[in-house]
Amino acid sequence: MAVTSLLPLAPAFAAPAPAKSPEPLRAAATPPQPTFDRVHPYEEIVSYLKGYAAAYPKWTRLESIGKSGEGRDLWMITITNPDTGPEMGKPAMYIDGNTHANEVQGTETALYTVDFLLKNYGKLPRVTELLDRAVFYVLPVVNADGRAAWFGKPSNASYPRTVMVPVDDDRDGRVDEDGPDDLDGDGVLTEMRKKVPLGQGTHRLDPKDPRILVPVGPEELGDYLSLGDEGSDEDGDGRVNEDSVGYVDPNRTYGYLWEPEYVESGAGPYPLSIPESRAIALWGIAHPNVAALQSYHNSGGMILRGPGAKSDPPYPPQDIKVYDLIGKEGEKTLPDYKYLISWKDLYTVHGATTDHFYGLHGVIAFTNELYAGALEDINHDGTTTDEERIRFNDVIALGRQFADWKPFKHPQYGDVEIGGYRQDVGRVPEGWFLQQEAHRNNAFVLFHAYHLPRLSIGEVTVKKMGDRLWRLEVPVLNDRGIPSMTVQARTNKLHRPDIATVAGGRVVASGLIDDPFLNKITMQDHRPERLMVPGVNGLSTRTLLFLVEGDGEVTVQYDSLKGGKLAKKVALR
Amino acid sequence: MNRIRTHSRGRRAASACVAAALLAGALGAPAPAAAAKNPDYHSFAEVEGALQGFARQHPEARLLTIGRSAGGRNLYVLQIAAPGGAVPPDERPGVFVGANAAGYFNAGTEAALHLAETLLAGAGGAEGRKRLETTTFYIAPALNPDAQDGMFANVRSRRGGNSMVLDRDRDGLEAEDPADDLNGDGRITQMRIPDPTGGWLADSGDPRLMVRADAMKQLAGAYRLVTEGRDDDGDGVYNEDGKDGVWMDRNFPHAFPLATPEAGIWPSYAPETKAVLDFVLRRRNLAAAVVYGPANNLLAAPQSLGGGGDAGSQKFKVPPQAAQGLGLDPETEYTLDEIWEVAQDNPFIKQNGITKDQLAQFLGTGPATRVDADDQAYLDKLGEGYKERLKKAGLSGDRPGAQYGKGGLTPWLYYQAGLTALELDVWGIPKAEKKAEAGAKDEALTPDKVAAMTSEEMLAVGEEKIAAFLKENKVPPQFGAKQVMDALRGGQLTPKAMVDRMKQMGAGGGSGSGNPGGAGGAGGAATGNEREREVLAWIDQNRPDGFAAWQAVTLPDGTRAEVGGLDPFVEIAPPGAALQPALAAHTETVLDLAGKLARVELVSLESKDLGGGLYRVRAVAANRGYMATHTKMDARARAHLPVRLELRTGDGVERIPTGTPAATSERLEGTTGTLAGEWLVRAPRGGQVTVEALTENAGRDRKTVSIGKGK
Repeated sequence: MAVTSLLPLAPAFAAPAPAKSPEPLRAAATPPQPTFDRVHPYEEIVSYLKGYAAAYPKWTRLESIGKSGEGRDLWMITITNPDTGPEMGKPAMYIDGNTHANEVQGTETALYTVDFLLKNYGKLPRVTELLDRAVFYVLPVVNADGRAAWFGKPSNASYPRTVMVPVDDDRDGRVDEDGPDDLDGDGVLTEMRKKVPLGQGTHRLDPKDPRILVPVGPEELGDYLSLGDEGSDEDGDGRVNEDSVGYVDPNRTYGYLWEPEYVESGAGPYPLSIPESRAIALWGIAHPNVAALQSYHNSGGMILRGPGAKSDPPYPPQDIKVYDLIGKEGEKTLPDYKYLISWKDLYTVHGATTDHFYGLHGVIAFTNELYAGALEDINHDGTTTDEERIRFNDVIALGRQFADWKPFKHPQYGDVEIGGYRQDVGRVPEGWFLQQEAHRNNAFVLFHAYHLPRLSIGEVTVKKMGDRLWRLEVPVLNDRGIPSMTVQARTNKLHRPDIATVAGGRVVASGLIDDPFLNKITMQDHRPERLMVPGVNGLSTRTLLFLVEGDGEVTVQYDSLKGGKLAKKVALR
Repeated sequence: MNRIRTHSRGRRAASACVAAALLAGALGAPAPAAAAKNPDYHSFAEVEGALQGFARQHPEARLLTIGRSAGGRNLYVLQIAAPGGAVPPDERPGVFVGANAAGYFNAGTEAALHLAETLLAGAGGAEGRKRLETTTFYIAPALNPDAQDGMFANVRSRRGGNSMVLDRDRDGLEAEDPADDLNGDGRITQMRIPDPTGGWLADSGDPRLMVRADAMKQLAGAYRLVTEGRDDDGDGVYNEDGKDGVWMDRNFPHAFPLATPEAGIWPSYAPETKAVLDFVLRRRNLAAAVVYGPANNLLAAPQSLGGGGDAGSQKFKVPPQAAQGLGLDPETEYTLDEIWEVAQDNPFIKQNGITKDQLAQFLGTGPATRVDADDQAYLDKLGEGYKERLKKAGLSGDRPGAQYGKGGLTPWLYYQAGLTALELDVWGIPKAEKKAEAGAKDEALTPDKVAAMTSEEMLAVGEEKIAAFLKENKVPPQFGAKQVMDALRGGQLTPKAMVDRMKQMGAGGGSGSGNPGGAGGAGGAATGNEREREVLAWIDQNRPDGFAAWQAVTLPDGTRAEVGGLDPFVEIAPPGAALQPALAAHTETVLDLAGKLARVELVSLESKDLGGGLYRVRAVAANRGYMATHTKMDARARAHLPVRLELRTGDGVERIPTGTPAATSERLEGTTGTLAGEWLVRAPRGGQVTVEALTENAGRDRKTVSIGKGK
């Protein structure tokens, strides 16, 4: 994609003129009315996306950016006001969800923003402003095959997580031959436990509630074994569930500081070896206007930023300030969420989405781990005990969550009991809370997008220097938090800097004014007509200097990959 | 419109073309040929034709297209294997030979084609047939086809990149400042621009050579040294944004150079790289790889490419919670081994089947960055044979070997694909022969050679040579040849002890393997210049057209400069007559390696009657090959499945479950490695069990025994 052009006055420079009092969008067809109090299978999500595209054809573009391993489309919806300038001339935010197969509600949370933006334009000024000046790219389902498997096949809150790529986990020459199974055919994958003679067990029943298994304490004997996920030894190697579907982790395969499988489990054979994340990474190269990113996961109530690993280069302090501005606001917007640094506060991750987009494209990127799990913590002391969890099931969820233990004849273990929490419990909250989560995370994302760089050219100071020679001081203001070029991008030369030019006159010299009072100026020694500007920091002004030969009027043009394109006419007098 | 004016000896011409023609006449150099045909090297079209010819003419040859280059050219692999047979070609131990990933390394292409030709020509003979029945060769003579023809272009230059278009200098303009042939000699050389801040000066010994300014040597800079060409985009930098795309040989995932435009934005970004990754990873039977490229890891031991850390030597603080669980002190640093020592007995670790690798990952140990010592030992042995072969072919075996680079194909093949991986540069300008003292001209002794000698061998060398050796290695004069020989005779000293002692004293510096940097590299330092002088001396003697004499040019902005320097290919692409013996020696090296691959066989299978219808079945597999079944790196990276012994029971035979059904080993050492498996079975007398020895890339074997009969 040719983003830049030598031609001085591309139409993109036409100053956007937002309508004076924008009207709410008029739908061309009945817009979808999704329910945000439940999670939806892939097909339903796709039909919603098609519904939005049909209802708002002018404001949206629905496209498949690639196919999953099993051939499902990766649908992305693009939303912006088409009358305020072309898409590539506006700063953009990218949002995705459901990278991990089991982390399903990221999809609905992303979809909520699609719904919210389209239905509130012209009603809420912040939404109106965002759609006028920015672009939203939303990919609600990254792991389409994984979502289909989670909804369609026996699964639990943590399984499956992978993309659907066969891997010989137990290295016996057979692939995916021994995963968990719904042995009792009740449609859910729960757990197994076994009663054994006293002294042979590692657990015992909780005397207050026999549904709960507790590990034996010191000076206690156990009469139960906790046997883990429902399943059997299908390949006869003496192990249970040791070669399940996958595993390639779509959030460990990205290209920035990727590490091989023996260093990072789930990395896959090489960076972006799977079609899902490769499609996103290639899409990212073609969209240098993206300056903000949210990738929804679950769970734990976290607003995560990189670095993913201690060995990664530390973030430059200037960029950390930007992260802090947004992340700390997130802690207020999202009750029980904590703003954290991946490697330090969670665990080491190589090859994550957010690290890739920040590390290689300089995008301010967060991963929200949806649902803090605070509901089940009935006494709000910060930890959820098994007693609290089961009480929440009984009294508040009215028994929806827990499938009671039932006897089963196991091929290896003999008489066992199968039972436990249902598929979504623990990582996806109850429906009546899901909608609040979606709204609050949407609010956080729109706060993030609010801080996309917003550039404007201020009052230009013109001084006559000689016959037809003029000195122009051009202040470029960014009144939002994200810089038009992060320090990460600048120091690693990840993308071109902003470029300032003057049409209608000959630029004799140019530079950056570091201190206008003391006349501290950094001149650009070569090619003054093409002034390279290392971005405008958040909430600050960058002042440009041009010595121009000409008469009458010139146009100062400012072209930023992530900050949009500006132009201003200046009279030489 | 070409605005360059070239002037020489006061003559000026209006255009570069005319100037070049005049110059050619004036200097007696051949005029630049249009699309210079070089009969000694294959263009990409000729490679394609040759491969198609092989596939047509030989039933052993199958031409695979494994992908397309960015420029839409086919990426070919020629599979050579005997057709038919019990084991399909993709399951026989395999050797991958990949040439010219670098793009400008055309001698590699010739070596790959020579190998294919040799294999196919020999396919009729008994030895050749047997080779092709037991080993499969995958030969890719032109891995980087978009760059392959740089040496045949109107203006010859070293091209490394594919046809992708880059904005290398990040100025928003793509490929706008390429190199230019200013003096019209049909090649891109160097340009020196008088500039006191430039950091370079002409060598006082030979002003054709450039050396770096150096405060310690009181050498002040006088020139800026750049590639030949204009500053087309006027940004003050010369030729920094050429037409070259992504270099596949910098685009592989080991030690990938981040934020380097020509390396690609992420590893595997270039279609050529991705195609090779997919191809190699799918051929589970590959055991070894030979890359024909600009480096040589048999002439010089490979150095670390940095990054990450080696788990063995690093020390870690254990995060507080984990430290508490393991009973370790969170403030103390431990090695991974020390932590594992404690962790493996921990109930949580045991119950969850957490491996040492997973623990290492939790601690953030990072990837391997050095060739494992045991793997290097095999490389050293292969290197000995290789140097012998070079010597026999009349080639230099002690010239410097260059190191492979970050993101290169070869380091990926070793560090991540786990293969025994050689990179061989086929041919190089020989080391200058030292003008040795009379009589000692042949076979000068080196500390390494001496250390390997017995006392008798050392004495047989004679006093004169021993004296020269002691002098060369700056041994103090009180240890004269006579005294040394007496001590050797008397048994007070052995050659090895002497060399060790010399090393302790700081002597013995004369035997180094040479300067790893190529002559053309900007290696700086006096040694680099020494090699350059050596190279230039050789060129003066053998390829006088290989150095373009510095010649004045005037750049469009009036800057005066000189263009000259080494021909881009003179160091790496000799004429056919010089290349031929090198090709033969390298083909021999690949065949030798193929003959040394690990081969796992079942060497015994027996059953023992335990009474009551129970029998113990015991099988032993052994590695009958020279190489190990897995490199140490392979075993660490888990790049291949382990060697497995699996039991198959016949009718009426039942395995009594004990332990795991298969015996496995992550690595069987060459020659000596064995793996035993034992099973308990209940069987009727005469019932049959079969044991299979399974590997991905070291063959497979099976044996059947009748219970109670032994074998």
